[in-house]
Amino acid sequence: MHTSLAFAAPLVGLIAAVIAMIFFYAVNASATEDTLLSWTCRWKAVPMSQRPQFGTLCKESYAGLYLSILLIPVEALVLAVAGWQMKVERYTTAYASARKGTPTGT
Amino acid sequence: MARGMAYGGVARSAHVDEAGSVGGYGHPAIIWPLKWPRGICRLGSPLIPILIIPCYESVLALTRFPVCLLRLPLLVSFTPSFLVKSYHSLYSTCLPWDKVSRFLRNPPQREENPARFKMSTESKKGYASSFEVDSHDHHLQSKIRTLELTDNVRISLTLVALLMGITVLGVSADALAVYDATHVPHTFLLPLWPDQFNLRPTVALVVGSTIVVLANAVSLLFSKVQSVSRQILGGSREDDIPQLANTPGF
Repeated sequence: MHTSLAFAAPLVGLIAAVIAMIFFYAVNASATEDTLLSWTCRWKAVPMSQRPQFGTLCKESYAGLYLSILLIPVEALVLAVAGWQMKVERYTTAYASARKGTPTGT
Repeated sequence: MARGMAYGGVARSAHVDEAGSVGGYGHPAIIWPLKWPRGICRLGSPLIPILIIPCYESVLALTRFPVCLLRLPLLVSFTPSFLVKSYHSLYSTCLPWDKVSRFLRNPPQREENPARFKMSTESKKGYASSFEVDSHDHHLQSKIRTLELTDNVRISLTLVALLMGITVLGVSADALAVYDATHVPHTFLLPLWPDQFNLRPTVALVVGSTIVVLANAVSLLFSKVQSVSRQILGGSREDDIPQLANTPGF
């Protein structure tokens, strides 16, 4: 159960990150509608002393986007390590039980 | 006793060595060169604290390291012959010399003392106990070591992913919150945001990062719980096995 969870969690995370990124780019490609990223980055040069500070929001949106893209290889790496661990664990369990079955030299 | 001597130790260090041994601590200046080539010691005792102490200290006791660093300039200014004596009294509070000397005099022998090795691995990590380590089985041991390493790598990577997910969540949720707080209906004269506005990419980021955070948190939590329960289970099983083995029926 532990190993399957260790395998399933990064899989779910990977799928979520990929879908979020695909969705972001699919919608962001539209030229007619503005998104938060395009709108804030268009007006980021406007100096603002109050709350919708577009420059900050633009940076925030980009940071979120790039971090979520970076998240994909990290999750894939976790997935690969979990798969490797599952394989080694299965082998070790089989090996240990086989060793326990046979009488030792002592 | 040794701790109290730490700061006034410069003046009193000579008394310490005349009096003989200091409260259970060994003599590091005598013990260490057994492991290191003697040339290093003779070449310049100032090298010893500079070379050994920082790397050894930082691994062993991170919290006490700054204190040792502060004393370093004091040490370097001494004459070498005096240094070997003052070295002990100054650093005796920094390093657990009794443990070090005991370790050097009587190192743990893995092959000849399997019970000891079993205990040490068991207390460290659960894997060894879950597979009932036979210390003579090098193949199984190497596999278990690989498993422990992989587990650590996986957990740290999961932690990194969790932190990244939290950052994405916070950043995009903050952008959404700012939009929510500042957007006004289009009947106002000076709208800050356009009428035709697509929030879905940002919402997608929020939802996706939430899922990532949840999945990683559950994974981390369960690996923690699992290792704890495995240690408990392994401990009770280790107690059972010798009893079974000692009964004549087996």
